[in-house]
Amino acid sequence: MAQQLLEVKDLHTQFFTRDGVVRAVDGVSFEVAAGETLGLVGESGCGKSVTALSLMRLIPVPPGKIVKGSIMFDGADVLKMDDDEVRGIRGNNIAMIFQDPMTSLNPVLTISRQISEALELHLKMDKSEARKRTIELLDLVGIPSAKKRVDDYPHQFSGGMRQRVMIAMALSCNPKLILADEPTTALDVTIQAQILDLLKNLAREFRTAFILITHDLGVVAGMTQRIHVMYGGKIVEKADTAELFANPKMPYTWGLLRSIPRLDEHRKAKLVPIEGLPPDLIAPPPGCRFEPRCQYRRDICREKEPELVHIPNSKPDHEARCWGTQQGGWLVDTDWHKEVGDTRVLEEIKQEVAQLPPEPKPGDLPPPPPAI
Amino acid sequence: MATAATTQQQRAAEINVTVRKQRSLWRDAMYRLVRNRAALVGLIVIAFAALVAIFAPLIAPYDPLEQNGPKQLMEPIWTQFFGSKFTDPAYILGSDELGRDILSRLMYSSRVSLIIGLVPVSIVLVIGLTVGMLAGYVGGVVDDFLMRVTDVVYAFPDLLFVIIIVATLRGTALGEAYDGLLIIFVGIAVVNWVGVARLVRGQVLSVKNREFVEAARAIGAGPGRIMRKHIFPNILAPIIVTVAFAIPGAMLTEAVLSFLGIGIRPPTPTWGVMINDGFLVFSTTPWPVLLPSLCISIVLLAFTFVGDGLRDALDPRSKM
Amino acid sequence: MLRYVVRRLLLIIPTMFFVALITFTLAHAAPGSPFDRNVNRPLSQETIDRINRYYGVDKPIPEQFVTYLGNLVRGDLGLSFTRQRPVVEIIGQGIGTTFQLGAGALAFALAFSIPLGIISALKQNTLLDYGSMLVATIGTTIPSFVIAIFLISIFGVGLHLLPFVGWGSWQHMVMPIFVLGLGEGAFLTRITRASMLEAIRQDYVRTARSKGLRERAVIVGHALKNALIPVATIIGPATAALITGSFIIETLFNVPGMGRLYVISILQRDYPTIMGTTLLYAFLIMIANLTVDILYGVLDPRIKVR
Repeated sequence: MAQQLLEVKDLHTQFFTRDGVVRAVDGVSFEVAAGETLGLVGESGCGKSVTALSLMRLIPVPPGKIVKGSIMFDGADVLKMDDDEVRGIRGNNIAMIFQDPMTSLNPVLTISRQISEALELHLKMDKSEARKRTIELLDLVGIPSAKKRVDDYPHQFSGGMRQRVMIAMALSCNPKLILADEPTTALDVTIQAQILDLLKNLAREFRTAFILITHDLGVVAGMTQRIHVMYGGKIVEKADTAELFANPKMPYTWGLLRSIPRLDEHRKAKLVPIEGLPPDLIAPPPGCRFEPRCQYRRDICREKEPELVHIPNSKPDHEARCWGTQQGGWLVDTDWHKEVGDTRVLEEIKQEVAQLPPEPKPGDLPPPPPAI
Repeated sequence: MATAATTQQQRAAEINVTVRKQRSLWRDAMYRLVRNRAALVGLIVIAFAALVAIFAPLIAPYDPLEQNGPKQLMEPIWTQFFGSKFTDPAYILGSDELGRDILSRLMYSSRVSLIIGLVPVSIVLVIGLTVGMLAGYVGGVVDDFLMRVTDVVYAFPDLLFVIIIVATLRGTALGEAYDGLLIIFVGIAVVNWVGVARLVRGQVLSVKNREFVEAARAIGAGPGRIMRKHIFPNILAPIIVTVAFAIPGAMLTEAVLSFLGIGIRPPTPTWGVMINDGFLVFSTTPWPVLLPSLCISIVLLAFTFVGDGLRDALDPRSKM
Repeated sequence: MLRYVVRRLLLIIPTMFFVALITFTLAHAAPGSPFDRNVNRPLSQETIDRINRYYGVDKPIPEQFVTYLGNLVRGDLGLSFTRQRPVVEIIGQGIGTTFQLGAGALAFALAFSIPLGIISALKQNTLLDYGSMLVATIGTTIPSFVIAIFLISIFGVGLHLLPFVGWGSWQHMVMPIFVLGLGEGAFLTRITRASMLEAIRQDYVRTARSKGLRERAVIVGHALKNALIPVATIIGPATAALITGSFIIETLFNVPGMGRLYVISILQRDYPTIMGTTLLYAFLIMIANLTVDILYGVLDPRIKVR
């Protein structure tokens, strides 16, 4: 097997806060091949963004810290590099597209300056070369009248256009890997589709590898070759895209798929949400992290944490972290479409959730006083 | 087999552990304020000053106005260890140029200073809140009026305006009332209510379009109720902070006015007046200037620390 | 942009009118003639009448006001009651000194406070940060005259190092400029620090880092430019504070500038001088505010000057 572009082994990233140590990424391992698009899916707080930031060592060092693991990019361990080497990779071999284009671009600098920065730094272009290349890039990502708009400021663009600018910025030095953190979440649905199309075309044309991070299964469906599902700081399922949608093998994934509205379902069929709240990453439970919200749970789920292993009745690369679906488990032959688990367990979960302390209401938050 | 009830309780206990304890925002603010050591010290100092102010007539050794010719400009008793021959155990902190006991004058000064800190600021608060809320929520004539007034008042600095008001009206009946105290109240109040009103207006504008206000309106709440129960609690934080800083501001204004000679009329002592008087005899003995300077500095610092602490505590975004 | 500037300049006129009106009204609300000062040698009624006529004080008040305005437009600020000289001349004498004091203080303040604020923000929660914030707090809280008194007692009286009365040599300038500048600078330091702290937490700073820029390029090229915008806008009110500060400092250090002149004329009820100086101050402040607004429009591309 050819050497992978990116190999992450047992990554642990933690944040040291007043309330305790938050284990945001708690033992994550995965690979990405050159030119491949990997989807990293999960709800807010599951650790997917922190994983991406760790890859570029963008975690703010107090309070965060990458405490363990290795990140092999192009054969070299990013975590062992010194600061200069890491800076040499950022924007150059690995680039990142952030979620909110409104705040991720500097409002007082022209986009020409913001894109040229990386070109001048990494590719050692001079100002006029960089400017020419910037205009080319803007054209490439579909910004109309690029030559005229290159000296504009971010606030003069719409949301979708700004995200295209960010994409141009990421592409500027022809990186081998682009991390896209919720690139379309802040955009309108129609613009989302355009941006995703753009990304797909760019991936194909430049053979760039992508890690697409999102909470939206719909986004990864058409874009990725493989998908990893994250929950509670760990990866809980790995599969090829088509396989994941056709044959998911983890109750959390079932829950995710069930909560997506589908055109082909009966009009009166209910959307089944996953009850409960995400797990506490400071003092995670000893067993499976999804157990408190899982309708299929059994005692062993609370006692011991399952490993991420290959699952019977599925493709060879398909792994899941669940006692029930593993070899010998009680969910091996379950048709998740029909069986929703023990209804008594469902009632239990609902009651437990009801006993949680209330979250602060929006009206409780006072506006921040002026800072002097 | 354990009964369903106990398993449920166990589970509830476990789940509780896995969810971070939620603190109500006001309790969180209190917690953070108390954790701030500087603010805590400030609060203690203010409490102490308040006690001195309230009980001054009982604990001051002398009448602050009582003059004692032969005992002028006595030095504080500790200076005798440095060779001073001008001490008198009856006057612990020494006496001023008219023989009045400095300690007693300092104590009585705290009364005036605290009154100056609190009374005009309360007036400012009431007027500013009312006008600001009306201007922000109802808009219209009140809003326009506020904007025009602001433009004029903002044209010059507060202190200048207060000086002009106080200086020119000193001779009038208004200026004479309460030894000049009233005109100082008026001066401070007139100048500062505009700032508060503007702040309130801005806050109201930003809150009134939030969803929960719309929701309240949708269920039929009237403007009065909305202003009272929905808008007001949500604009409190910056207002509290502003008030916390306005109190020392007022005290400072009085000190400056007294220093320039247009403050409280003699013989009422305030720290500003004492500094002014003391400055005249500075070359003879520095204590009549230094002691009230120290007092006012400490109290002002205390208020500033508390104000800073309040601001940090009430800011939901700050991670301490 | 030009239209905006012109419009603002024109707006100064009605505001000045109001300032004049208010000051005039207040001044004439005070009882008694300004010439009553000397109670030991009361002037005969005849003399008083003559003086009043000379100064035009015997006419009805609205007429006085109109006359005043008319003179104002022609640059005549009237005659000082106490000094028998044109107000313009008196102001002219003091303005140079005050300008030296003010400019010196502002330069001093800017020079130390902005770098200090930036460094404090970058090294948040270190000893340097706490130290500079403590100094800044003291500088903004403790009245300038108190600080001045402390300094005078140490450097003036105690060590005999620096003179503290009058103006002339550079030694005379040290303490007044320092005290005035300290108050300004303390405030500026706090603002700069707060603004910088806000700026470095922004998403675009993370984006800049993700492009592989060195930390210094990130701070200076990205964060700083944003952070300094609010600081620039504070310079307007800071100038106003300099003006009021100058009253106190000049009085304290006996510096023969406009500030001291103003205080004296207030105590002496010299209304023409009071009014003239007030109008001048108001004008200066409005110009300062206008400059700041223009500066803001230039620095922040998001502001489209209406």
